[in-house]
Amino acid sequence: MTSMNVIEAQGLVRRFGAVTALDGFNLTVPSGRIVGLIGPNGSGKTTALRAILGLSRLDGGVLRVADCNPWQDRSRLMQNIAYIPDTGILPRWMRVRDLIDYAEGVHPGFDRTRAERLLSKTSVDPARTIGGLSKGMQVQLHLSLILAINAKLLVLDEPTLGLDVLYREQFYESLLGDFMEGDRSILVTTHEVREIEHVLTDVVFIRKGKSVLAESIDTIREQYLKLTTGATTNVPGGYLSRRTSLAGVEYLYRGVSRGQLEGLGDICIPDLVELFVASMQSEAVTVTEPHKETQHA
Amino acid sequence: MRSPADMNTVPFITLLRREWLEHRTALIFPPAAILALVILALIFGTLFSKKISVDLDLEDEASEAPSLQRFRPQARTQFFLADNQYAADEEFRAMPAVATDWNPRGGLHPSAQPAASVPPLGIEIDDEDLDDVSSLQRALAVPYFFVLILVMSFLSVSVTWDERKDRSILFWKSMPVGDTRSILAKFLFLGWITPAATFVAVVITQIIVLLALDFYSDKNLIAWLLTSSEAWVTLFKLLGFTLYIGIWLAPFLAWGMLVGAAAPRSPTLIAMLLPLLLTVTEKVVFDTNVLFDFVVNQLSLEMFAQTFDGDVAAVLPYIGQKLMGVGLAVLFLIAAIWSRRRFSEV
Repeated sequence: MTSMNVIEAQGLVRRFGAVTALDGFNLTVPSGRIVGLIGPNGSGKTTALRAILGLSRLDGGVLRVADCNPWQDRSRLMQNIAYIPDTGILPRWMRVRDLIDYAEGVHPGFDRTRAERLLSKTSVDPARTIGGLSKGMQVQLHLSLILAINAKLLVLDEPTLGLDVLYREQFYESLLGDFMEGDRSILVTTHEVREIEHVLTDVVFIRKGKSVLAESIDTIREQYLKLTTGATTNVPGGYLSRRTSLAGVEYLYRGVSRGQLEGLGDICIPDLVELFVASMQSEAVTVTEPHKETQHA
Repeated sequence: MRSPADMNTVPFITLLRREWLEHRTALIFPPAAILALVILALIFGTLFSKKISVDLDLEDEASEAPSLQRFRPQARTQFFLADNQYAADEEFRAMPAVATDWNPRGGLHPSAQPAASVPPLGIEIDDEDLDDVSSLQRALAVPYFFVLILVMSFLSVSVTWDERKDRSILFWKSMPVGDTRSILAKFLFLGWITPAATFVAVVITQIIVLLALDFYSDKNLIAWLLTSSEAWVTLFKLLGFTLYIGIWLAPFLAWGMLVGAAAPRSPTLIAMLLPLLLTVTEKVVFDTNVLFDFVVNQLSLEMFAQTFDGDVAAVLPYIGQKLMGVGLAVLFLIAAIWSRRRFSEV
């Protein structure tokens, strides 16, 4: 593993009885990047995250996170990782200020002053019990705590699930404004592609426990093209996917120059949703070497 | 930022504090309820009793409190004299030895002794009365420790179950605290912090009750408590019992924690029914009572009693049993750590 990568996962396998949740899953998260792990429900996102966090053991594969084996060194790993899951996990019986005391007591990288400063920007009252806070406030509190930890990697598992649009917007603003500095990284999972598209630097699509696409956003913009044309037009082969829409037939290409498609129809760069849908529907999408370009950068 | 040395001690104290915050209701309310009952009993006793006696020896010797007439003028106070005779208040006060040594609070001063010509009085301050205070101390502790054992039994399951049920275990695990340290903190909290909190409640109750009795009666019980070696020995025994509870109940507490950390549902039911089922199965299949005998022997307080009686020889036969109990507790704790690591949520 290179020290440039905060996560390096090769061929991860996790089985639950007859169900294979991770089936040779690969993932690389370089330092200083925001990587979106995107997949439909039941695709293995949460299982992968749990393995990365040391919450679940693996049946196969090699996994290193922040120079630790997550399953064996979870306690040490958590000094460098922060985590917000899909639903509220903060202890409802605890007062906010007691929670801050706790984090300060057990986490060597926790900055109490920073947490209180971040919290003062919200409407969370430190004297209240967490169970008395709204879901939005609980997420704000959790985010304030997490952002006050000097972590190399922040792992978010559907963090805005159940939040209204306003809170979602604030959440990602805080994340980008207060967390992303230096070589810190974020790994975020969601099935709401549009919600995180604008914050990502890299994307990994997961389907049936396998990573089916791993690219940087820059590569997607440079390498992928969408051609929309009439149904009878002859188009070059080698497309990743083909689907019919109201506008005509859409072909998705990777590594094809704009000149090759010129004159055949409308050409544009596909957005993440289109790429995601193509990846989920087609068996033909190439599994690329994860973040090859980034690693060489 | 803290040094590595700090990181070894500070988190553990923080973990204990967290357990206290989470379960303090279970530790504060039952003792508070008992204390309230004791105080209520004192108040009702004062208000509704025609003749209030402070029966310190809990047997048949009663000493009446003349000072009660200050609060209950209609109360009939009598003084127990020798030869099963009673003297009314005015008769008592008229006795020569009493008249000169009468305590303004209404009692006979401890230093006052009736003259030889006066029949000996029943109100005497002697070593037996000190025993009475000790009996009272012990009697006041009994309901607390009884409730404590019930509370500990349920807490042993909930300390590992509740965090799984409300998914807060994911938050605790997102902090750099290992499962071993978490489980040990929970066990320490259950086995020693919880009884210690109860001991504090017992001492507070004893002080309140003795203050009340001191106020109502002619005896300066607080002075006795502070100067009596017997009273301190009783307190020391209670403290010893408090510390002993952790070892005494260790296998049961660890068992509860294991079930709370591993059970998919209904942990309290499983924690109670599984040993019962195993006991019955053992009896039916092998016609033996090993498990039942172990539980009974483990629950016996004979070792503790012998230890405090200073009979070391009598303690020896119980050491093997207690070591087995501790060993079993260690096995259960290792299994609880293993389970907590794997079974995060319900």
